[in-house]
Amino acid sequence: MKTNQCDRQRIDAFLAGESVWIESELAEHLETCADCRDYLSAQTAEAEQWAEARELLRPTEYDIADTAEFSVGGNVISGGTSRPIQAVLDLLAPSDDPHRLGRLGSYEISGVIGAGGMGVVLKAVDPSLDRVVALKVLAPHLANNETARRRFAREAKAAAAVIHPNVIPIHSVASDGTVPYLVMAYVRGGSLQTRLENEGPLPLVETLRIGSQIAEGLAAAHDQGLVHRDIKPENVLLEEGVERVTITDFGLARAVDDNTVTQHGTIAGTPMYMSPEQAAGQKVDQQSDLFSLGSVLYALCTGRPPYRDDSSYGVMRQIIDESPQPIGELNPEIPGWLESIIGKLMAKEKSDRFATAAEVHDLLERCLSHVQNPTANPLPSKLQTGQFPSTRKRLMKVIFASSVLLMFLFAGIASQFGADQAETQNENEVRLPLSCLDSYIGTMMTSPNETVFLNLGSIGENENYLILQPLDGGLTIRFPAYASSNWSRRQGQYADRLKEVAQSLSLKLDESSEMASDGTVQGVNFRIRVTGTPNEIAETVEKVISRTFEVGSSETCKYQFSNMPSTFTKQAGESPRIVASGEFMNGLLSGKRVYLGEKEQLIFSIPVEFADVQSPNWNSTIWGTDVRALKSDVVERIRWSQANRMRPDVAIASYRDGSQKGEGHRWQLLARKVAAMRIRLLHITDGKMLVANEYLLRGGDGSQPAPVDLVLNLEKSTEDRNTITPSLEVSTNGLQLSRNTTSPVTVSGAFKVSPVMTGGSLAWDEPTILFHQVVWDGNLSYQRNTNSMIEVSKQGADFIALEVEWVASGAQSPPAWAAQ
Amino acid sequence: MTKSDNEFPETRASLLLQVQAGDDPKAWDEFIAVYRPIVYRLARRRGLQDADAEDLAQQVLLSVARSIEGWQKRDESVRFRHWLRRVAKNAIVNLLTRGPKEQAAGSTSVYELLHQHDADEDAIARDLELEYRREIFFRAAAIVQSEIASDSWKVFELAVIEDIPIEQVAATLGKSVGAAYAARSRVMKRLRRCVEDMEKHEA
Repeated sequence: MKTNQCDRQRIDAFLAGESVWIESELAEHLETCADCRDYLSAQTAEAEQWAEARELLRPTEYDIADTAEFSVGGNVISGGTSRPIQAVLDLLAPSDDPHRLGRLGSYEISGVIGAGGMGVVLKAVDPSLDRVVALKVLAPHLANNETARRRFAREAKAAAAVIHPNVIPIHSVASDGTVPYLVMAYVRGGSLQTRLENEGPLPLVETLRIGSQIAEGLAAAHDQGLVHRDIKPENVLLEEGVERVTITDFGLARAVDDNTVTQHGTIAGTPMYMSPEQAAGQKVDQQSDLFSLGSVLYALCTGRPPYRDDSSYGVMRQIIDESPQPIGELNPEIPGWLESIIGKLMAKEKSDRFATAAEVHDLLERCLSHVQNPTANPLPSKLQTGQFPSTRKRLMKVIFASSVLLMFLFAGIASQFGADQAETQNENEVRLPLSCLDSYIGTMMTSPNETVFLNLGSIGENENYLILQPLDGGLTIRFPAYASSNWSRRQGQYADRLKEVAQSLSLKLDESSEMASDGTVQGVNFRIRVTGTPNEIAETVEKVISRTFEVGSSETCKYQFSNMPSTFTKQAGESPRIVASGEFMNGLLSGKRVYLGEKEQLIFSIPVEFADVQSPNWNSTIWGTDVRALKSDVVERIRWSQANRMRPDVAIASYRDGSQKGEGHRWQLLARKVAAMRIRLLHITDGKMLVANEYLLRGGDGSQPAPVDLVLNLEKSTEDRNTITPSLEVSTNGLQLSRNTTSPVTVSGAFKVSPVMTGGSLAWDEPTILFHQVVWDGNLSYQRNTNSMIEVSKQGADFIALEVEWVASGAQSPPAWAAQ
Repeated sequence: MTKSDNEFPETRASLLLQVQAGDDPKAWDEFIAVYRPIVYRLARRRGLQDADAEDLAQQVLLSVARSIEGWQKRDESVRFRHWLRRVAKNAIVNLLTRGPKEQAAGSTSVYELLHQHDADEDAIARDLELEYRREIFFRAAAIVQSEIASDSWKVFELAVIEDIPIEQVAATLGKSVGAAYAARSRVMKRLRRCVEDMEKHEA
């Protein structure tokens, strides 16, 4: 085949991948033939497809992690950070000098130093003064963002005001068209982070020298009324060949009295060195920088940050609640006095920290002199007397007022349980004091057959149910473990641990295989059977659970329950923390971070038959908070809300839920300042109202919102359009309860689903009823209360209604369900 | 079938296991790999910070995992991965439309809230489609890139993604213009094929 001939078949064959040998021939031909180039392009893909590939493959600014990295000048660009860098480089005007990357304003860009959360740092030459500078360019995607621009402006203003050898000098702030940038001194050298990564723990003298200089720089900034807010090793530059430390990146610094940017609740900053108050979204001040300085010193002593976790969320939780591992355990060479200083810097309470950065600088300077010449310079006297509380002691001060979370397991028959038995303990029931297990448990679920599911996973993870099941004279604890594919990893963990625990308690561990339909072993379940008196059972269960997750003094045990991206690492002395999804949502709603603290005192009861329910189609059980425990609490809350003239605040939103195959509707309630709430799923048929499910929920704390998520799913069967299987799910306070009807309901005609609420504005001071209504025959008119629904139902129409009722301060006499 | 002595709720893990074994063992793993970055980008675009976006991504996956039980009971003819996509979409929309709306609630009428939700949902659903497609392209690109010579990929990257005139690309890489055209088309063809395969797989 001649290369100078146009040959469409050759192009087609090439694109079909028939022969690699054609390519060079074709390339040669394409060199000169514009027609064939066009044909090739068109045959390869349509114009829109080319455009789409360009559009989609163009890196987005959100593919990178926000890490600031300063390094020796030059344009080494690693893969992960190239995208924002590319975006900034795209903005550069061409330079006359071919060795430059481009031009920004009058600055000739010679390289890229790094990319941080807010932007990209470029190395540049200032031609007017012929000096090398660093330009911090606000990332283009942030340049349109008002908050980011304001922060950036503040960064400039704040940093420029501080003139100190340990704070990076800001030459000017400029803007090229739309992109603002900051002109700073160029510091040749690496960051403290790089040094830590390369060298691990630093020598004592270095730690003191660096710490003292950071403190000095901070003191200068604090004098100007500034808070850095983001002291961390990446933001500390070590100048090459000079023993000087420079604090950089006042990206988050802001005037103490200006908190407008934080009003929307987002937390900025790198969590590992963050202060507890910052992690909790509270007011940050100079003392917060001292905490971060303490964390940096901790890292210099041990080679690792004080708090680590797989998620930044986890880190922040630890910062608030926990003390780090004592430095002495990680590096015995660190003297006790330095550990005390760091302990004081890292005090959870601001008032327990040092008063000023200047004091810290002074102290560290004297320590440095002492270390360099111990005979001539004694340690400061207050360090000799050991007056600072050690990190370890403060560990005791931290935390959870553990709630008394009780779980009832009834070995008896459910219907025996009635309101009249309120205070008496059924002799067959096992009361399991879970307060000590609190931190292991994310969510709990009960099922109709008296089985209790404890969710042991992290962050609402739901594959890790530990199942407690009553049996004659005792109960079994079932640990699920699976043998196949990704699940296998945890099998070993569970199995080994459980065998040890069972042996230590002289209990028998049963293994039973789960078989797949083809007969292969799909997984193994482990069961421990516990018998004895209710008290003995409770005690043993507690031991089994706590020992299973107990970690010896020297071990680190990593639990990977599944292939879900959730692991938690437990170290000696730590309890695993679990955050339930409800808490997460609460946090989102209030615009704050959430941490595992005190749990709601929710008590689960075993289902009770609802007396007036006739329909065999409904499994009519209460499933939710134990009324007995609720009553006094609710009355108390009503009293409190009346005394405080508290107006309830309830917002409802309803929208279609497309996640289910059937027709569903999702309701969301946000209830603030509500004393108690009742949610019922009603089935109205033949002139009768049947309560299918009922939930009683205690309101949130006085000022806290308690979001309640309701999903009513009404699903039509595919075989029979007149048959539906309704289900209701309620989630609140980290608990998720869901009920399905046991068998489908068959109705007489076609139906449609329409959300209907009581018309007009809701009367906030009255108990209010809302309906989610199903009109079976499509001809029924709008119904707004149960009475009219009942009337209509006599004519043959069925309704399924969701009724939400709450108790407000205006209610003179609370409804019977709330207080009797 | 799995022998279980509980009617409800059978541990979801074991349901998931059945789903995996029965229909599409890789679906869940792939699902996680695909959706994490998608949710992350969506969240970042909507102004969440890195850590919050990570949390949200986790939350979506969890909420999807939670729904798996629901899937099992439904029509067996619906393919697992297809279903997963729908559930994920729903979870993302739900999680992203919560928060701020409800914070602002108080005196806002329910109807306003409803409409806000709808408008938001549409926007998120559109973004989600885009991000989903972007993810497919990213993955396809990664596959193609690993299979072909690096200079061919470079041609494609510069000429197509970076939109640099092909003559200039050829000059920069020291190739003939014809070779650059051929390479560009070859890579594009493979990319398209790869994307189509993935779509077929997902559909």
